[in-house]
Amino acid sequence: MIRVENLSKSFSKIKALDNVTAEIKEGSIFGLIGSNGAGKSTFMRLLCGIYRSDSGEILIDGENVYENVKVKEKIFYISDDQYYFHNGSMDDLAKYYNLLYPTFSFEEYQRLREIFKLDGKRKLSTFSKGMQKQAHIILALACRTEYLFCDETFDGLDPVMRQTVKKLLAQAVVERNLTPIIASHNLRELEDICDHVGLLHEGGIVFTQEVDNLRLNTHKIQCAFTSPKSREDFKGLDILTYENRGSLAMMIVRGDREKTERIVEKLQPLYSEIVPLTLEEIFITEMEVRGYDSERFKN
Amino acid sequence: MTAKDLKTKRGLSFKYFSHSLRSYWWLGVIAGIVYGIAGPLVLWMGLASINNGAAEVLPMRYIQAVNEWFHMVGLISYYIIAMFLAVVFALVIWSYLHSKKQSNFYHSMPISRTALFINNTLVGIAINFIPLIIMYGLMILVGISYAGASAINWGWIVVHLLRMFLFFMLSYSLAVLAAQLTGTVLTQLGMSAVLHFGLMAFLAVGILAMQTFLSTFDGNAAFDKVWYLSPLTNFVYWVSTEQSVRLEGLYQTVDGLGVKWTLTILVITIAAFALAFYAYQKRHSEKAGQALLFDFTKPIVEFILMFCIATLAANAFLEISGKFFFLVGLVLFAVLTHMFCQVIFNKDFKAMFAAKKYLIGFLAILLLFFGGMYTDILGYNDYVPASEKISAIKIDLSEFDRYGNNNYGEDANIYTDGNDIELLLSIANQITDKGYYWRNSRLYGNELLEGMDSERVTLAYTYITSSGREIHRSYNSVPIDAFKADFTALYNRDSFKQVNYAWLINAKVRELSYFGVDSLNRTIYQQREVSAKLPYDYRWENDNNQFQAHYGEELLNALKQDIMNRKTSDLLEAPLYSISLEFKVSPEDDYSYNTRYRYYDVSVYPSDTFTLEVLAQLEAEGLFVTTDYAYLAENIGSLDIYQVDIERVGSIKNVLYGSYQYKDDVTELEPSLVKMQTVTDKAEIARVLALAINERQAERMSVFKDIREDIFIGLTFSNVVGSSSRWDMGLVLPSGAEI
Repeated sequence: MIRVENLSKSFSKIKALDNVTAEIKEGSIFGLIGSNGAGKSTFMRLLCGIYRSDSGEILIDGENVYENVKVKEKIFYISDDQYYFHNGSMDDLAKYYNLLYPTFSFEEYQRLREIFKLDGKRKLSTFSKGMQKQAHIILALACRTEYLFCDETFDGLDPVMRQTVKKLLAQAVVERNLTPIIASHNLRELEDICDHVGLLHEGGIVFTQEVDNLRLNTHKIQCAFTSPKSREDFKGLDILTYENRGSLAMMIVRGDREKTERIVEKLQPLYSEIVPLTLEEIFITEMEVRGYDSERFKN
Repeated sequence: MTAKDLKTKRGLSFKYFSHSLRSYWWLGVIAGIVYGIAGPLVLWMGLASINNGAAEVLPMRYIQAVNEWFHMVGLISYYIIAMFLAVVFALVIWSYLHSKKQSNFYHSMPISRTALFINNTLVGIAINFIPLIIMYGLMILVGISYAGASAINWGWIVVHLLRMFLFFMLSYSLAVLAAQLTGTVLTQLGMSAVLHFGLMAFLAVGILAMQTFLSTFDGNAAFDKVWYLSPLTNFVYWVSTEQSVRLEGLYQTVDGLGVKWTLTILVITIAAFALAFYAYQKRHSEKAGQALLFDFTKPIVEFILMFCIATLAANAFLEISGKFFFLVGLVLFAVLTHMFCQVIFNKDFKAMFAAKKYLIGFLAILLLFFGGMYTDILGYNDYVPASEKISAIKIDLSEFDRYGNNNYGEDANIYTDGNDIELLLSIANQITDKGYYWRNSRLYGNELLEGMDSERVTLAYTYITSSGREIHRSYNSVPIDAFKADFTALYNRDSFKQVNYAWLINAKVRELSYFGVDSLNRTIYQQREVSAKLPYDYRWENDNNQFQAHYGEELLNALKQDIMNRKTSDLLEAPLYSISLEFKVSPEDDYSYNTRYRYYDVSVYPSDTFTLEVLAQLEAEGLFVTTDYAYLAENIGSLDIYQVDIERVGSIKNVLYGSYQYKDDVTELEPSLVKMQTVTDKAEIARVLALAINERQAERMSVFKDIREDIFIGLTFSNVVGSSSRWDMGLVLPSGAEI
C-alpha cells in the first residue's frame, strides 16, 4: 500500500504539490488525473523516489521510498519520455534491469516481446515512438515489480496495443497483485481499466475514490417544471453545476441516486431524467467547480 | 554508512561495475590510442632513430635513451594525458546529470546514490588506468627490447605509476566535484577550470593588484606560494623541480618535502571526493540541466571571475591610459562579467541584468578593496615592525657589491645580530618616512623620486617576528645616496659580513672543485680567463692551465681575509678581477649539476691585497696575463669620446644594455642625441685611459659608486696584432671623473 501524508514540493517559487494526502491500495489500478500542470508527473516522481519531498511522507508498504533501495526494487517507473541507452537495444536494457531488479524475469521478457513482436536486438532509437512505448512496457512488466508507475504511457499506442497493454496489466493485477498507477489525460482509457482514481488540481488532491463509486454518486439531472426553478429550490442536493434555461433545469449533483431522485420528485417536475456521467464528464465538472473550465479561456 | 551497509546496496556488485565498464569501452579505446601513441610508439620511434655512431656505442646510447625516458622525459606526456582525461571522463560519465530524462531514469532505479557515485567514480578510474597500465607495460617491453632489462629502473617505474595515479586522482576528484555542482556541459567545464585554477588565479590576480597599488608589497614572496594552489601548476612546478633535481626527486617521495607534498595532494583529493559525494547526495534530480545546482556557488563563482577579469582589464586600462581608466575598466568589466555569469547561470540572454544586488555588492567590495589600497588606509606601505617584535631580518644585500652575495637556501641572508637589525630597521624607517621607494607612476606619479640622481637598489625585507611569522616588504628603487651613512655602517660590520658572505666565509677548501679568474680591466676582445681544474672532480673542459690544489686553497683563504677587511670606501674603486668558484657540495650519486655543484662569483677590488698577491703568484707562473698591451697608449690610434644627450637617452647604460630603443651601440644613436670628439694625441689618450674603466668593470661597480651617465669612449687601435681597427669593448668614466 502507498500512503502519502501532507506531501509538499516546490520548484523555486512554484508550489508543485501542496500538502497532498492520499492512499493507494495494492492490487488495484489507480488512475491519476488532473489538469495540465496539476503536479501529476511531480507526484509520480516523488512516489518513485526520484524527487525528494520538501515536507510530508511517502510510505510504500510502510517504508520511506527516497533512497530506499529495498522499496525501489518493488517499483518501476515508466516516464512520459522514457530514457534508453544511446544506441542501446531492448536486450541491453533488459540486461541492465536484470542487474538491478531481483524479480526481473527473462522468460517474461521473451514472452512479452513475442506478443508485441519486437526485435530485442534492434536499436531502440530506430523504433517508432509507439514501439518504444511498447518496449518500455514490456521491460517494465518483465521486472515483475509490485508497483508500476506509468506516466502518460498509453499515449502513442495504437488502439490494439492499448487494449493489449490493458489486458496485460489486468492480468498482472490478478496473477501477482500488481498495483499500476497510471497518470493520463485520456480519461476514457482510465475509465476502462482503473478501479480507483485520484484527481489532482493546482498541486492539491481533490479526491481519491473508486471509479464505480464516483460514477454511481455523480449524476446529471435534466428536469422540466411548470415554472422556472432556482438552485436554491433543490435543497438537500450537493449540486456541482447548475444551469437554468427557462423552465428546464440541468445540474450535476453528487450523492446517492435514490436520494437525489426523491428530492427531485418532491418538486413535481413535468419531466426528469437522471443519467450517469463518464469519468471525463466528472473530471470536467470537478474542474469547473474549481474555476478551471473552457469559459475562462474565452476572450 | 558502514561497509556492511554499502555491500547490501544494490549496484556495488562487481557485475554492475563491469556492466558500467563495458558500456564505456569506447572511452578506454580512445585512452589506449592516446597512451599508445604517446608512449610505446614514440619511444620505439625514438630508439629506432638512434642509428648513427659506431656499433659498439649503440647499446650504451640505447641504455641512456631508455634510462632518460623512464626517468621522466618520456613520461611527462602520460601525466598530462592522465590529467586531461580525468576531466574528459568526469564529463562523459556524469553527463546524465545534465539531462532531466537521464537523471530521472537513473534515480528511479533501485540503486542508491552512494552506490552509483562509487560505481561511476571507479569506472572513471578504471577506464583510465586499464589502458594506461597496458600501454605502460608495452612501453617497458619496447625499452627492454632495445636496451635490455637492466636498463629499466623498476623503482622509477613504480614511483611514476603511483605519481600518475596521484595526479590523475587529484584532477579527477576536482572534475567529479565540478560535475556534482553543475548541470550542463559548459558549466561543468567552467567549474572544472574554476576548481583547477580558481584559487590560484584569484590570489595571483590579487597579488598583481597589490603589487600595483601597494608599493612595498613583495609580490615575489607571495607568488612563490600561489603556484601550489593549482594542481596543474603544481604539476608543472614538480616536473621542473624533478627535471632539475633528477634522482633527488625520487627520494623526496619518502622523506622531506616529498612526503608533505604528497600528503597535501592526497588530502585535497580526498576532500574533493568527499565534497563531491556530499553534493551528489544533496543535489536535486529536478535541477538537472540547470547551470549551477547549488545557489550558494553562484556568487562565489561570479566573484572569482569578476575579480580576476575586472582587475586584469583595469590593470591593462591603467597601463594604457592612467588611473581614471583603471576605474572605467574595473567597473565596465565587473558589469560585463556579471552579465556573462547571469546569462550562463540562467541560460537566458535576457537575464543579463538579473541579480543586481550581487552586482552592486561586488562592485562595492571591489571599489573598497582598490580604494583602500590606493589610499593605503591600513598604512601597509609605511609599516615597519618595532625592533622588540622581531627576532631577525632576512634581506639579500648582494646589490652592495654586485656579484658578491650568492648565498643559497632558505636560511641564507638572515641577520640576527641586534645592531645589524637596528641598522636595517633604521634604513627601513627612513625609507618609509621619506617615501623613498618607487610607486606605480600611472597611479601615483614619480615625483618622489625625481631629482634624486643616485644609484638605486631594491631592498626586499622579510621581518621575522619572535613567533616566527614572516612580514614581507619590498622597497624598490631606493636611492643609495640618501642612506649612504647607514649602508656604510652596516657594510663595515663584521656580523653583517658573516651573513652576507656566509657562502665564502664558510666555504670548505676540500669542496672547491674549480676556480677561474677573469681580469676585468685588462681585456678588450673577450674574456681572457684563466681557469683551474682542481683534483677534486672531473670536468670536461679544456685541460690547459692546470693548477696545483694549493693555489685554490690560497685563493680561498685570501678572499676570506679580504672580504672581512673590506670597507665601503674600498668599493668606490672599480673591481679589477672577477673570480668564479665552483664547489661540489652533494654526494657522488647525485648526477644533477644543479644540486651537486654551487657556483659563486666575486669581484676583486684594488684593496683586496691578499687576493691580489695570490693572483700575482699565478702570474709569476706564467699562466696569467695581468697586463694587456692593447691598453697601452702607444697601441691606440685614437679615442672617440661620445657625449649623449642624457635628457633624452636617460643614461649611457640604457644604450650599453640595449634598453634605449633597442640600441646597444652608441653609434646607432641618431646624430642629434650624441656628440663625438676624436682624440689622437698620445698624452691625452694616456690621461683618459688612466681615468677610464671598461664596460665590464662598470657593470660590476658597487652601488656606492656610479659611472658618468653621459660619456662613452670608443677605441681605435693602431698596431695591435690580430685586432680589427674598430673596438669591441668601450670605456666609460666613473662618476666625478672629468676629461
